[in-house]
Amino acid sequence: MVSQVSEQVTDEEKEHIIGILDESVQALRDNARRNSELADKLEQKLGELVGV
Amino acid sequence: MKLLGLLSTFGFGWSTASILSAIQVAQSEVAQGGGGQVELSWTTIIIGYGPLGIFALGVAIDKIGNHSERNRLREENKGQAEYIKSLHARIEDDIVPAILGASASQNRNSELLVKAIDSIEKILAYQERQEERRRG
Repeated sequence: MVSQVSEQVTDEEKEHIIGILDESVQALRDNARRNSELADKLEQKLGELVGV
Repeated sequence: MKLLGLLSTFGFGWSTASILSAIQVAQSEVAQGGGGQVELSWTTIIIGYGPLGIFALGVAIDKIGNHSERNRLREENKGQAEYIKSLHARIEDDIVPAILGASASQNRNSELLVKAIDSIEKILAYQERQEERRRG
């Protein structure tokens, strides 16, 4: 019984940690995608500016 | 283990019956004015109680084994729980702040990119207005 409770606590801790990391990684991916789109737009505008 | 248990139960019953029978014989001898000595065969006792002893020993060894296995598992779980706790602390103290820093930096880069795009759009609009003015 004691070992089962310990295992459950450990599993909950693992799930919690994985949840935090998943959210953080997702936020970084979303930001990176947005920056990539903005960089493409900037490149296009610079092309317009210099007449390419 | 089950067979040994049955054997020991049988032996225990047999030995007990032999002892009770010997006591009864001794009591009846006393009632008849005799010496009343209880005679028991060692073979009967050994055959009867020997397997019971072995059975009890087996059960005891099994219990001790289970106990030490439980202790081992408890220690293992304790070690795992401590490891997870330290991992959790490291994630909260080091990794999450690093991710938040990277995220803030990305947001700053987004703002700079948006400003650069706005500036270029303003320059393009200005150039267009100048061109229209030149045309007349």
